[in-house]
Amino acid sequence: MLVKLDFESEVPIYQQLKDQIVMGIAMRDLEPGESLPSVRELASDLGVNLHTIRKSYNQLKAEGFVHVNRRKGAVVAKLPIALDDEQKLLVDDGLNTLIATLVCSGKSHDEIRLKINSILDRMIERK
Amino acid sequence: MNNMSNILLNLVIFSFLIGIQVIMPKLTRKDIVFSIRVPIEVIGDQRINKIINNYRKKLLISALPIALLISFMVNGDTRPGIYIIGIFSVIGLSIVYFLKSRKQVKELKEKEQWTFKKRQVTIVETKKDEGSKILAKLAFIIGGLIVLGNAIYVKVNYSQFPSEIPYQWNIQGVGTQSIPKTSFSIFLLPAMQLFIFIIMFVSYKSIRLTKVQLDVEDPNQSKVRNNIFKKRWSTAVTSIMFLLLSLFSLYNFDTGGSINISPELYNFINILFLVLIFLIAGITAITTGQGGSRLKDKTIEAVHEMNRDDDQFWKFGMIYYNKNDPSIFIEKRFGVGFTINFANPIAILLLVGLFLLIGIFALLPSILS
Repeated sequence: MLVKLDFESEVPIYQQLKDQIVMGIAMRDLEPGESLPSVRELASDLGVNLHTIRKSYNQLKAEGFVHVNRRKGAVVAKLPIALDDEQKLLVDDGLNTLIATLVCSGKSHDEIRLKINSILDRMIERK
Repeated sequence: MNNMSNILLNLVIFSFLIGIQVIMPKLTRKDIVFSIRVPIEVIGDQRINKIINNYRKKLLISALPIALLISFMVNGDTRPGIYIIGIFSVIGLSIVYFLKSRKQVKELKEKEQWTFKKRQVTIVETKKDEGSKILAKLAFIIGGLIVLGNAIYVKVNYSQFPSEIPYQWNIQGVGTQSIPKTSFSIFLLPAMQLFIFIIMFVSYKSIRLTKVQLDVEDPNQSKVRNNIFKKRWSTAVTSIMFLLLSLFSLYNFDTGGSINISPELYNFINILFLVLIFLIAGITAITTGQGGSRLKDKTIEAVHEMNRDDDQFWKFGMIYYNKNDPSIFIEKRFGVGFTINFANPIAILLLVGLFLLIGIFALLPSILS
């Protein structure tokens, strides 16, 4: 998978990286069991601090998207991942806020549904 | 004859040196002009072309007379001092004109605010496909065996060696510098081969470990270009290693009396090997370009993004210094091949080690005698 990071963005690099990996897993660009580059490798190619990458990986690990294999390093977790109650709450809140923002910006409900559908279409459904 | 071939040799070296500096602006990555990162669509801009042409003109006008003068003046083995001054003045001139041109591009970039409305991004591939390393491994195993073979050869044929072991030759293969033969100093040539082997191995490793840089305009094609770039330079390095090891083997076997090469043949072999080495390096550089920038498979779409503006990390446009970057090796920004991240302590250690190695190499004859 190609990861693209924007260095001018307000969103911190570790967050961008994490978001794109989650997106990649959902879109099947990253397969369960696939190993991610080592922290050093990724930091080197991106030209960023080791801590930045470590922070992304640690959060992904804490949230269950990757697990750390002694031999292969960070590996994409088997799906589905189990969200705990706190995570579920965070996702709900985030979703609410995002949709509310769209509503406030004057988008009709149909437009918003279309948008959500087009995003879902890019992600392959798993049984 | 002696004089003619020396002049010829000098001309080959100088035209290579000047030639590569003159075409250098076209060997860099496409979006880098005199070490300044610009959006890809401004390449071909009249003002940029003018800066490049100016650089070339000035370099040619100033460096060519020096090259001609020294080529006809210096007799290879008699006055190497002047020769080295000649080489350094050509390099010095190209650095001066490079810095001037870089400043002009930098000012143009600021004036036109080329980076202003662009998203600056870096792209990486999470899946590493480095291709097969078997051939390279095999090449270095054979190289190691050649060195070992030479060491065994001198050990076995100790009695056949003359009382003075030459370690420097003129172009006709006549020894100009030598050390007295001892059971220790007899290993001088194999030791020199070992140094060549080590330096070539380090070069190969640096090619393999160099930071991967993908272009935002066409990340997938640029992945392919990067791989070809690394592969070609690996091949060039191993070929040059074989050439040098064979040349030293010839000298070794000749000193040991196993073969007898006439001065005329040496003359030919020496020039041939030198030309071959320059050809390999030159052709690889010219046909591939930094990061594969000269490979023809580029389709550029206009994008509102550009590769991250990293000018700030390139001091004087030549020295990469980025504390946050854990990379050790990185492609040269303006030049052929690779350099190090000077902010990385491991890279500095490696550099010091390399200098030590070269120092030992130069002092080897006196160490062994």
